[in-house]
Amino acid sequence: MSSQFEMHNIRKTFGKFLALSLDNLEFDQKTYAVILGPSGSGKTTLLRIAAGLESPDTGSVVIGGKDVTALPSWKRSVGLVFQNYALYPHLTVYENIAMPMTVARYTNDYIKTHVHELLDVMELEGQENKYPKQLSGGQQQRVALARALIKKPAILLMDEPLSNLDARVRIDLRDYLKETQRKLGITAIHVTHDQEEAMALGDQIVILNKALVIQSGTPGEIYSKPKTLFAASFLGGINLISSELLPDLGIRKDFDALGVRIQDISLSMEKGNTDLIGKVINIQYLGYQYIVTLEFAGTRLRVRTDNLNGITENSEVGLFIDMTKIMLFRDGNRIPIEEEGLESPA
Amino acid sequence: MKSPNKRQATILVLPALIYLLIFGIYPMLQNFVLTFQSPDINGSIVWGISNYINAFKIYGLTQIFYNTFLYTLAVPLVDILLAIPLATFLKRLNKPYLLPIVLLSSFIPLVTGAVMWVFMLNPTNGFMYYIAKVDLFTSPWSIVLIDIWTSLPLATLIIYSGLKAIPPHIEEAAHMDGLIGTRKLLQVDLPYIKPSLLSATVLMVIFGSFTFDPIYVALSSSSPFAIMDISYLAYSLYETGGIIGQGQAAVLMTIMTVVSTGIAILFVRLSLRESARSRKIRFKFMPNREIPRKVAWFFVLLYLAFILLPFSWLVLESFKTLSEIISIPPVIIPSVVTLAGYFRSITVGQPYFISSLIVSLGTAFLVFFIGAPAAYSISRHRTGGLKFISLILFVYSLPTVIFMIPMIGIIKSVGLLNSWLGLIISYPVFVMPITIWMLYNFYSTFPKHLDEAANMDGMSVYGSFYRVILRLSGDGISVTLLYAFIIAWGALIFPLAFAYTPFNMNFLFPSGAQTVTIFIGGTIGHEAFNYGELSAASVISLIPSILLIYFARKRIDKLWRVGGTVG
Repeated sequence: MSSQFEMHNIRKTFGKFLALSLDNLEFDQKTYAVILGPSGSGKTTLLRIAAGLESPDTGSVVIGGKDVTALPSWKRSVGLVFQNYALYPHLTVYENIAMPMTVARYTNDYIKTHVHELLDVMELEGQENKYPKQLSGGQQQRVALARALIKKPAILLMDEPLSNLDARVRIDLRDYLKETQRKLGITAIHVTHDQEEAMALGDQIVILNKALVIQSGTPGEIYSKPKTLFAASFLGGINLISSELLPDLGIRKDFDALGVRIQDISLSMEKGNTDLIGKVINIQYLGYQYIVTLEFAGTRLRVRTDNLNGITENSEVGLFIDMTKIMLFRDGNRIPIEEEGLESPA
Repeated sequence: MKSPNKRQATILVLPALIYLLIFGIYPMLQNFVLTFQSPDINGSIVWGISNYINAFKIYGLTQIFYNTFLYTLAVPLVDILLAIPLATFLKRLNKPYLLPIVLLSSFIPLVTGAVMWVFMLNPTNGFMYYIAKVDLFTSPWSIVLIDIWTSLPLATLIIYSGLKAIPPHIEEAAHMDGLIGTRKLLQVDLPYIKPSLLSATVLMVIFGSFTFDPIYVALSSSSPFAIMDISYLAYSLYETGGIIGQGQAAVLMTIMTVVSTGIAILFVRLSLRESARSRKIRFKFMPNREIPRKVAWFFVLLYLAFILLPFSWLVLESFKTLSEIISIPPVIIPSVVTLAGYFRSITVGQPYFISSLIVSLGTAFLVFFIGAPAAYSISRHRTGGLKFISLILFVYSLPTVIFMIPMIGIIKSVGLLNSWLGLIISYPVFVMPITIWMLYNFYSTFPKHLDEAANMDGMSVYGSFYRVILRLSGDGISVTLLYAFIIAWGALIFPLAFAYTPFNMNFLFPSGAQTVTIFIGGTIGHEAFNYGELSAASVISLIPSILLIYFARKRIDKLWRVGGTVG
């Protein structure tokens, strides 16, 4: 597969504030890529540079093998779905979707066929004469999606496309987005701050923080092999324990924090020979599993378990950590569990 | 049962409501009654419709009606056609200092503006000598020109505010779709700001149809019927026609009231509607290209020349010596700069300036005390619903001249004719509606949680208004007050009708209340050679307006937002 979207040596500053700095970013054809990061991490800047709404201070954007850095948005073969949809309030659904094509001077018949094709895909048939105000949030979202797709762009860009919807619609639309992307065989770049959304949708996830790329890879890689403390904690579902609070675990000692995912700890009322004893503070029942919150050595841990085995609030339990799954961090970076060589830093 | 909050909110509105009923609605009805009264040979009142018959026999009425229609149609049409490109260029160039300069001619006393044009268009002593040696004031188009010059900036401001309020994501969506330049303007911007466009049009219609001040000023250098309109005819009938004239004036005022009610209904509906949609206009020729900055600059400079030329001429005049003022051909740059005009205008004009200052200050404060609580109450507590704000916009769209005759009766009955107080209590009828509307829009943008927090802390509606809201609305109120001040400062019809001598310079026993607008507008042409004094006085009369524009320059485009404010 050839790479469909590339960014090289991009740097963007607003005044003195560095908004984005990345060396190299590539997405293959038909990839669903997710840019994940907290607010202010530079993810929206990245998307806007790709769309041509911002121009980078340095660097280049390549789409389909062609350098588009100097081209205006509408000549780039990109479609953009705005966070708040940005539909024209004075135009009907049909006119909104057709707008990019009327500007490009296609014939009316041609436009009509294509708009109706998309109305069909988006399950919006019958809504074409309504105004945006008369539609639900989810429908508006699909109109925005149709407008972005009408010119058959090489890249579909989406800026937090699900953040303005309520939880149920969001899950439905999540499936829908991925199906549409697969059906049309298009490269999608989806920006979000929601790690669950990123994990659910992305073929490839890029984590950004403070204008820098922290890690890029498949959801599986990122989840199981985070390169930094930030990547590990931002994806969530992890307990981070300061090394000072831990008894000797029989591993190297020059780490700052130990990370263990919430499903990699098991709990038992039988304390056995473990030194790790916690007190149950709170139990959340999620319908198919439990999240148990414990107090342990002055900090709080969370554990996910399928059954409680008699554990109740306020009970003292033994903690059994799966030592093959733990992660160690020093200075914000991940380090191996075993020390390599003798001259490790003091 | 009404909640105490609701009751208090109602009480906040009451002063404004009572004021508008007495000074706004009662005169309207009283005019109607007056139309049926005329004197018989012995001077006693008889009832009948003779006023209606006689009013239509007035000499020159055809020309007067023609002029009125011309002002009503030509002014808004040209205004809007010129304002759309100007607003677009201003937005394109995005230079914050341009807007305040452009706005200058809409924020000065109408009389001063008219004086500038009379000076400039004088074919022997004015700048006109160098363009064409013709006297434009023989044609009503001279008044159209002055009207456009005066109102174009306001139309531009309303449209510009609308354009600036287009959300950035819509701008970016248009950019993604490849819509730019004129095509974007026609397909996205103008449909989006339709409420602003419509209100600007209606405001200009109101402005054009009730033209008064330029006619008053220009009549001195014009043939009597060439430029007169119904507004002015009504005034002059009353002024010179005694009790017979009063009845006929009342007929004209009633006609104006009916017509302006029609316009007002349109205005109210447009101003309060949330968003407008209708058939789309398709243009065949839509260049999809951004206007080059140089072209935009070229046109903006042309506009600026049009707006600033009369100002420059006035300022130059004010420093000229008498011989240079009356020389033919006219001197452009004075060879000797003299301040004699300023000294004379300050000495001679002193009582007028003092009256204007006191009356305008008094009006601004009266409007503040009555208007601000009302604006807050209707904006936040929806007091009176749409009815009250509709009443405000209705009174705003009525021509000032129609209040004149009944109000003389009111002011006379409380013994305040020819006094400052008489003017102060009458001015709010044309000052307060616009200030309430501005403050209403201002408070609509106020976060609601402030009141709710104040309420939770145990404050009543009064408490939250006086202790929380007022403290936080300093900028909105100061700009609005200053605006109220300059409307009052520029008032002409009421001082003409309610005051007949200048202030007697006795602060213990003050009498006389003629204002600076009378000093400026009334002396031109009547006393032939005091142009230096007159132009200096006109320059001085600009000071409050320049202060307003300076203080409000950063938020001036936000005070004129229309549409989408209710709901």
